[in-house]
Amino acid sequence: MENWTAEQIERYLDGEMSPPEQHSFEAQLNQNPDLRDALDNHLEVRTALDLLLREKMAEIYWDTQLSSVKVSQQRTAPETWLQILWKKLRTFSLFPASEQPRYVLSGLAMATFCLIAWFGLARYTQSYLSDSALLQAVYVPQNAVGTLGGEPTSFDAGFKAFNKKDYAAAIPIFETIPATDLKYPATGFYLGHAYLATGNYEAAIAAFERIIAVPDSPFAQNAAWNQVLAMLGAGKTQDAAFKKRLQQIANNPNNGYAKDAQALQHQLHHWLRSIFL
Amino acid sequence: MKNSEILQALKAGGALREEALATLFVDEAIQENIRNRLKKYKKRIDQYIPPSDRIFGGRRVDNAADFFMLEAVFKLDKKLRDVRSEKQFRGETYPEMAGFIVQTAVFLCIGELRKRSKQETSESIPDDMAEYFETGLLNAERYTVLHGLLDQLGKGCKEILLMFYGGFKYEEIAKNMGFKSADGAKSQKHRCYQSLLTHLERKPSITEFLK
Repeated sequence: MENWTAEQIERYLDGEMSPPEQHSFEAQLNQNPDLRDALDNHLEVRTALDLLLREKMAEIYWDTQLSSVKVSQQRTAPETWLQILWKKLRTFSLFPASEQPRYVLSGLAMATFCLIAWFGLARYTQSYLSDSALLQAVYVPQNAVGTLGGEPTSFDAGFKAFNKKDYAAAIPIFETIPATDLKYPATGFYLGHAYLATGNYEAAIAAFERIIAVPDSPFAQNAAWNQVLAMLGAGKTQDAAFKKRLQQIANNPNNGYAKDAQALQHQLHHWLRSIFL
Repeated sequence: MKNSEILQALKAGGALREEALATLFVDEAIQENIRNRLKKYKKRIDQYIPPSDRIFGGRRVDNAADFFMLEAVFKLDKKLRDVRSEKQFRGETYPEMAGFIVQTAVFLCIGELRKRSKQETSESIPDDMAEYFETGLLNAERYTVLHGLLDQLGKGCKEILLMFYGGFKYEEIAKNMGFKSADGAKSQKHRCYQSLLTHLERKPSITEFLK
């Protein structure tokens, strides 16, 4: 005969027995296999009830997950424009942190390239667009053409020396010719070239000026052009006299040096000259 | 709720227990600890315990660390609620409790991996943890059978049993469920319990399955 009830088992498992009652029940449990089987059945009930507890626990867990998402959203939402601006100022970086090494290297490469390009262009400007470079490119050394006829004179020696590019020998001979001499326009013209060829630009400018002033001189156009070149050699490209003379030549379609003058004007206004010279 | 209050609140049961569980589930240190300990098993977990098998309380928990944390907290909660003293949790402090959760989560994972992959892991499982691996995880089939059994009960019965085994006192149950007194709640709980027992006894196949 059973001397226990299902309620007792339930109370035992729920911890609702008093200590003496529990002690007595456990003593029965050790002696009665039927009671142990019945207890096992109750334990299966507990297993089923665990499912309810699991479901409730899962519900609490998912609520916390949703709350976490809400809290994180609330943390980010109410930022004022001032906070955003402050954060941006504090964390300002031109490039993302992960990209910085790449951009630093690229920046260095670009800086090196720019430096090389800068020196290259400066070198190019000096070689091809400086005053002296333009003079060398444009100036055509003159040959003295024959003599004025008649008996050979000491001037012929001057012309010979000039044609041999022995300007140092030619200059003193030409300098002795007075302005009243018939040979003066020719010797004065070659004297100007001799000065120009030897780099004595101021003297060349003065010599060509005197030839330009001779009325109806056949050397006037050539003298005017070469005076411009002498001024170029003397670094007087910003002088009003230089600009006026160059402009006159360039604007005169009948002047044989008009195109050369226009080309020279163009090169004098080259953008590289404004940067590097 | 402060960490130091969680263990006592879990032991107290009822609404305090539910609040303590909510606090515990957002403890990032515990989650991080479990995540780090399970990192080396990641590939094996994905292979043998895929997300489709990580069902807790009828819902899938994709994050493996969270899944095993839930299982571990459930074990802890059971231990705190078990009146048979030999199975009770002996820890007194929050770190002890957190350590227990982490350890249990890791060993539950290792035990399940061993069972499913039939391979040993480098970490040995202490004897006192071995009991957890006997039943294994609650798979979908087991869940369906249990759910079918509980559905035999009415909604009120499920609620009263849930509250009682969740540590609510009869007075609280009476108040929440509209019984006149604690005794009324106690009687109703007993009826519901007996009803569940009867359902189970009528279906020995389920009893066998649960064993």
